[in-house]
Amino acid sequence: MIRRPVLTLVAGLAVFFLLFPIVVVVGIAVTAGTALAFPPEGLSLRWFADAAAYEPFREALVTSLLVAGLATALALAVGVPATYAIHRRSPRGRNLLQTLFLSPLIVPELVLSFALFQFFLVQAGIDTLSALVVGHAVLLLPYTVRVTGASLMAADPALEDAAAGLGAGPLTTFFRVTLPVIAPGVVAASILSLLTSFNNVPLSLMLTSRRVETLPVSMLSYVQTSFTPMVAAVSTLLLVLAVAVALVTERLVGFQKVFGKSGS
Amino acid sequence: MTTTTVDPVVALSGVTRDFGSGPVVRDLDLDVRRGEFLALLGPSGCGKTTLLRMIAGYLEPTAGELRINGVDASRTPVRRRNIGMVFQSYALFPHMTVAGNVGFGLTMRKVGRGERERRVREALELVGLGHLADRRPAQLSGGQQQRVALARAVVLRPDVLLLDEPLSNLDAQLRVQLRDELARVQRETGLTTVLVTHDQEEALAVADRIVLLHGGRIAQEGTPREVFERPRTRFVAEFLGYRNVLELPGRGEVAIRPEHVRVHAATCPESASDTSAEVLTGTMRSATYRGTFSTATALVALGGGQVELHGVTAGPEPAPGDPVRVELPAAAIVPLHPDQEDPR
Repeated sequence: MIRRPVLTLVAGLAVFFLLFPIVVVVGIAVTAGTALAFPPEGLSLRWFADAAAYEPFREALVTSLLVAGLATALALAVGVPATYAIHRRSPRGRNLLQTLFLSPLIVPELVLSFALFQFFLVQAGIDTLSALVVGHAVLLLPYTVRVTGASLMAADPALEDAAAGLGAGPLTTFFRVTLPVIAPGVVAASILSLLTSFNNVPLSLMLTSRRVETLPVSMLSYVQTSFTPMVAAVSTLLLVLAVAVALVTERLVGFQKVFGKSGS
Repeated sequence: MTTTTVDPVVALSGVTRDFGSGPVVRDLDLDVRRGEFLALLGPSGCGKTTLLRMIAGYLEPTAGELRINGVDASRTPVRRRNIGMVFQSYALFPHMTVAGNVGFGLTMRKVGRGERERRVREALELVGLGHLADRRPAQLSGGQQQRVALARAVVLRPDVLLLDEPLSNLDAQLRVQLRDELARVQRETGLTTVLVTHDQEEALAVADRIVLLHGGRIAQEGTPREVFERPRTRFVAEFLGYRNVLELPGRGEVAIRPEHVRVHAATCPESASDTSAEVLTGTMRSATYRGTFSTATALVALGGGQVELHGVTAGPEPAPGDPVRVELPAAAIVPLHPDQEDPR
């Protein structure tokens, strides 16, 4: 029956290890009992209702969405023009600039967050939400620069020459020609950025305060004091959100097109 | 404005362009006359594309002056010049329809909607694509994309139409077809046109005048017939396919095309038809049968050395090593002038 037993076993194990944690989390979330136990003791959605009603989580979710949205917008606003300049204007020190924009990927996140903590909260005294937005935007810059840069490199530079030859100024050319052409890259960068910001822990941990928390930080502090399946329920909701984003992306632009072509 | 005998649309004087590693175009004077179809011909690296990009305004000359319709345009950016450019890659906007592409320049010039639509339709009909106005570039064949690019340039009624290797991305058959189409559109619109190409056949077929560039300078210019039949220097001769360049006693350096050189077995009776032909003797090297004729290579003794000559042979080919007689008809022998000082 099974034509390649070893291969099938290895593949099966791989799938098991990928899915097992997810199954456990979802299993705990739908338990009817009060303990973090797997398999669940009976089925119920009570922990979802509890999670949805738990005020700190509700507030943290709003904060997380706000931070993700604003940080993504900020990172795109800085990253896309920067990429354009790097690839199309060939400025002096072009390689240095490129490395600089990718450096948040290389510098350990805790180091970066400590620096931002020192600078924003301690010295500049900026409020928590602004600090979070700016901090996340710094973290997202490499994605926006990299992914839109890949789109730009794939696009024919003669397109912009053609627009100029037809009488378009630099701004018109950027908004009517360049931006529509690299739109799939910008969409991909946005999705990557939203998810990265939404899931981020280290940076948020350093920059949040007791009053303003992102959802992962709020979950972390909840877990430190309480052991109820409510956290599993929130985790399950986050999982569903991520899958939903993936499906919508697939329907709108196609994963292959967005992530496949952008490459490294 | 000074009046001149011709009426140049584009006038370059002393134009030089240097990218930092020596000039690519050097001290060049050139007039493009109103309504003419001019071909800038030359091997890669001869400066022809740089020259075209300076006329378009994508590059500024490092030195010299460029006038368009008598007005100094050396520092005018491309978007303020009235040029129409067709790119090697076509550079069609992939997110716009064919009509959107062709109308883009008119929109930029704030041409009203009614006139814009009419002119877009006319331009598309001119290139035979009236029925494809609503397609996207990706849905078109290479030849159709090329025509859209042409329509997009022509619709602006530019001062000068600039074509940068417009046919090089097409296969051989389509290239010939679109080449003729290009010539037709140019005739019908009467637009002053500059074509950049490395393909001599293309230049000979469509241009009124050929400017052959070498090392950023004009190596020779003239009508296609003048340039092709009377190359002035060794470089021009070799570029145009004169495979035989040799020193003939009493004539100096000359060039002759292989199809004019006749190679006979030495035993063949001499033809009395062409008494003015130069006749050399040598040994047969090799022959290749080509159907209606055979190409032949022979070694002849000339000026104390051995020279390899390429020619044709009719009838039975002499075997390698056989003694042969090589005839060079006087009318086909082109005397060469020494190359200008080596520009490199």
